[in-house]
Amino acid sequence: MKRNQSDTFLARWLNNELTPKELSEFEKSSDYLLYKKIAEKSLEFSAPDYNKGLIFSEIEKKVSSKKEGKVRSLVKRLSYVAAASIILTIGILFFNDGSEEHLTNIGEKLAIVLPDNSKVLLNSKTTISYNDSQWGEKRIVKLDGEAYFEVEKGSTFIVESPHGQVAVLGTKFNIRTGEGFFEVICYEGKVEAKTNKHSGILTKGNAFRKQGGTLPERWDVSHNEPTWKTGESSFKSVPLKHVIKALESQYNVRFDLSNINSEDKFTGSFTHNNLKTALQTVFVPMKIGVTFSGKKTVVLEAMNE
Amino acid sequence: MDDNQSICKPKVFEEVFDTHSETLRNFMYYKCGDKDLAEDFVQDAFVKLWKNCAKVLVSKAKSFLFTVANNLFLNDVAHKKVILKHQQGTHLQHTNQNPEFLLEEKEFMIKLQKAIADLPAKEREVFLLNRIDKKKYKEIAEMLEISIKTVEKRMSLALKSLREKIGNI
Repeated sequence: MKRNQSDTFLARWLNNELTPKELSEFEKSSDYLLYKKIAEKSLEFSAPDYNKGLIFSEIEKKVSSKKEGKVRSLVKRLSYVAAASIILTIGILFFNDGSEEHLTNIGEKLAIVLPDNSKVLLNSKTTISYNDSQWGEKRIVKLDGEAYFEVEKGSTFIVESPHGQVAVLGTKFNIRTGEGFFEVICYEGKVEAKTNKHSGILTKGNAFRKQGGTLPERWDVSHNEPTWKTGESSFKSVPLKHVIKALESQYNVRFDLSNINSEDKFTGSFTHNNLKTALQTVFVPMKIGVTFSGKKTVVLEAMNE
Repeated sequence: MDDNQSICKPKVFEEVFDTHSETLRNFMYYKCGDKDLAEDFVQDAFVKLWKNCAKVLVSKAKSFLFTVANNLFLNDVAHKKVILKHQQGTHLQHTNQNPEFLLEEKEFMIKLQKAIADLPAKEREVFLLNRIDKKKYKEIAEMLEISIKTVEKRMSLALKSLREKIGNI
């Protein structure tokens, strides 16, 4: 490209604002094809996924946690907004209000009782929603995250998650969902786990899992309830990225994964009470070095043999 | 939305959130390369907007949000590499690409991604707001409260340094 071209030339070119003469000259230059390729190829990128609903509820939380003079009215106002947004997100399915939503933040657990006395224990960073007013007709809850259910006997009880659903009668089971990840373990009774293409009936001690595009896996467990209920998260050959997600939702830290293979499988557990121990139990066996950069960021690095 | 509407009305506030939050998140991400941090900034900016709802006109909400988020960013030093997702299969007409070609394309995308990550933040944010979020120069100028001319300059600089980084192929 010529040195004397103006400093907005390329921007105008990209916006189709060049004169025909300028354009034809530019097209003859040796750089043209590469510029064209950069312009075209950069359109193929996209930003990371964005969960609008979640951000909105966080904003609502932040506003309501401030205890200042004028806040009362603001909280009230914003809770309408939040209610509106919940109705927007789940109300589309029900066309009705009476929606209930519960969510847990990093390191929190929450026990809730559903209208039929079924119990749900939410692990950290989990959202659950259901419709109170229509509960008598259909027992449907939506889940994003991890939760343990003790379902009262009655009509079919359905848990919907982005990656699959579970239909049960009366039983105890744990469900863990995440990006492209869906795992169900049955602790009592009988449940049916369903993804788009696959389904499986689970009875006591059976586990079912579907990840990414692979076939579902099945195996058996011997414990009687999920270990996370008692302060420990357990995994059986789960890709490290999901284990790290679980660590992030238990402790307020972030991980830098750029120097490790986060698809490697991890089997084992970590405690919810001590970050240092948790990091050791996960990363020492995986031969991954851990260094803190600042207070909340953990840089992971694969160690050479 | 017209200026007779007050942002203090939850419905208006939600509309503003709906319209601008994603671009704002992306903008902050292009700056710092940290999704969680970017989303924290978005939350803080909207909390601040709510607190100032009586003082901010609807038409000024966008630049208010971008200014606040931008200032918050200045206080934070942690930077990460910006990582973008690449959507494949956008060029269906070349279904019979040979492996060599595909590899070259892949290498090109990796190089491009790296070159974008290495751009100065001011150039990167303008470039990506235009390429990914499809914002016009005028809109970007309004968001960042800079002149269109400045946007064009940064855009041109970005293209130029990408071209230099990628070299001749």
